[in-house]
Amino acid sequence: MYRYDEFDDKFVRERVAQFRGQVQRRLDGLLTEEEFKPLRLMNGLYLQLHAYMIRVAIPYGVLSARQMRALANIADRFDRGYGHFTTRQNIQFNWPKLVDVPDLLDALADVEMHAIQTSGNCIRNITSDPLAGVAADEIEDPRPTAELLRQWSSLHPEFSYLPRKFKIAVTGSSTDRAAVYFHDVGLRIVRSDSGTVGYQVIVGGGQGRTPVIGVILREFLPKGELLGYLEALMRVYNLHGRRDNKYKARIKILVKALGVDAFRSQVDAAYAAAPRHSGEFERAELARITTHFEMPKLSVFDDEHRAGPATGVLDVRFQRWSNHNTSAHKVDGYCAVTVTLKRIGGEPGDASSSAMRTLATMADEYSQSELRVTHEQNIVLPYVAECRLYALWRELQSAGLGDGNHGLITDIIACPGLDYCALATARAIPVAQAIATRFAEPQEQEDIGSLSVKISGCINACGHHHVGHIGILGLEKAGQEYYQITLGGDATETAAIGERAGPGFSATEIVPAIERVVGQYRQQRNRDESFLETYRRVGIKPFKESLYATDT
Amino acid sequence: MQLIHDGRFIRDEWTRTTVERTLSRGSESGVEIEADIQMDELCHLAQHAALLVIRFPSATDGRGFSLARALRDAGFRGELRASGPLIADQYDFLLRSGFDSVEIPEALALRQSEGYWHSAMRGLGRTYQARGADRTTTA
Repeated sequence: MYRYDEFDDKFVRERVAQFRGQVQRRLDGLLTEEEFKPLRLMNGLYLQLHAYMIRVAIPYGVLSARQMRALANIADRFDRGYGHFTTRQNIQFNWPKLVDVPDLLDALADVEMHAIQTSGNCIRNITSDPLAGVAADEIEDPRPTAELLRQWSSLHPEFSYLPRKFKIAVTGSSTDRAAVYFHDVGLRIVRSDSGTVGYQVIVGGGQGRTPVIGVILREFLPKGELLGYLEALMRVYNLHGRRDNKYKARIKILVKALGVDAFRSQVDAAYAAAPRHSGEFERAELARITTHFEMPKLSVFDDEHRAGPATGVLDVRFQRWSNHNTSAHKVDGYCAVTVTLKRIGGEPGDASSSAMRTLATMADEYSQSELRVTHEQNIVLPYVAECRLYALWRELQSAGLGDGNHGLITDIIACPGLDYCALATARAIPVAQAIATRFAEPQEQEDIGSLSVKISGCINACGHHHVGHIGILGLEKAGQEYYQITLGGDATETAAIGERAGPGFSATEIVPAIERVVGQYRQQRNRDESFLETYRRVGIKPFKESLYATDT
Repeated sequence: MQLIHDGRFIRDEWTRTTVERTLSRGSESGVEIEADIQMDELCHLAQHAALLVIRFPSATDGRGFSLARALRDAGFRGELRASGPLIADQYDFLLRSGFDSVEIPEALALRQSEGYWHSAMRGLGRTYQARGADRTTTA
């Protein structure tokens, strides 16, 4: 993984010192809250419902075991012993005091981490495929590009006061695990007809109040041109994105207003007007960064071991877990393991400091001391030998982290909702807990199969409900929470925005409503057909009928 | 307004003329421009003015950063001034985007004293954008 050099280290240290000064000036009254706000946001510090919240960047979701332990220590020292892994591969701590934040940032800098640009109207943490570098279906590892973009976008002088936040995701596989169609800019590493590797640039996707599937801006952008082209794109957005209404300020609104062809012409004009550069720097930087991401030397196992663990075949819970929670690896005899942070009745994405330490130990023992955070709020161990899966699972199981529910109905994404968030209109976590509890029985989950439930506590859609196979949006009317259901959303390469099923349900009606949707699917499905496949075949009508049928 | 140059509060040698949005210094002329200016008009002005003052309606309206960068990219070599309720913490970004000077309201200058601007001038000292030696789009 990427290791800081002296430059990176000093950069982050100086940034902490600068923020320490800003906090002091705020406390001394030399900065107004209005002036301080963009500064603290650019350092990841939000004012939430009850207290400050700090969001720590985990660039493209990659963490070392050492960093995970540092996060556990921060959770104990500055929070209440918990951290919350987010849908943007970051981690949030919910209870820091303003005066303590510079010390917290220092503790992060000690392990090559920071909170730079995790909020505010700037280029946010670059996200990527949690299986980057190990996925069997990869064209090229997206992490070097993501790291190049992290460095380029850090404290960019021109793009730190944009109309609104700006999110970039990169994937290197044909299977999209980074939701590139739902970002302000999505980059797909592609191979041209002549075999050259470059980028397909997708623009204007997003969720929030106005969900939009991104459109292709450039079919093939050669390497060496990425930063120059992105600067042209960002300049058009910075100059022409709306600033009069924060809900219409994202690039997706500009692209829709202009039309993608007119937007493309403007970007091309801005790109042509900027000074030419050789692209040599970008290629050299990419090459330098790539040396940090070499495949670790993995032990080779003999055929007897390579086939996987002989023990555990009779343990149905292990079999279930190894079916759902492992992914194909580039290296023969290895797999990537997903540890779901979706304990039945727990808070999606939450991890206690002891769970974080267990995960760090598992990474040291089984996965080259490396972990990944996924946008589904889970943790990946990217280098696990198949012959050691059973041993790993037993250790995870004894720590309460061995649930085999990855991609199943209880692997729910939820935003913090009204329990924590100042913007929320309804609770999200208790709904996730109620649904997970209802479908806790592993055999039933298994039978339902691949199904993503995503819950947002307001129309800003942090819980990604638009792209859930089943999406749930919590709203409020006359002091009562109610929940709208959308069906058929998809965050992957077959991107789709969920369709609203009809009127909402109260907090007590929502679980029975989800039961009816699932029941309808089980009735309609052909053999081995997933929820999404069935939905695409039969459409929303039968689901509506079962949701709104009146008992007669 | 208080003018800031090289991290110091200095007296403005430019004076507003009777013509709206124009300034002069001896025989030289300057123009004040709004952030919503069109790029072709901006490039036209750049050919005739020794000073361009770009107005920032607020500290968080970052259009001026891109205007400055676009002007420098287009070869403007005159003085570029940022004008508005900007704070010292933005000084480094302003300089790196191509501005030479900043003018802020007097009331703000009382809280954001010269010392802050002076120490903010060097900003972080090191930037990723400056690392790209052969890339001139960011300085």
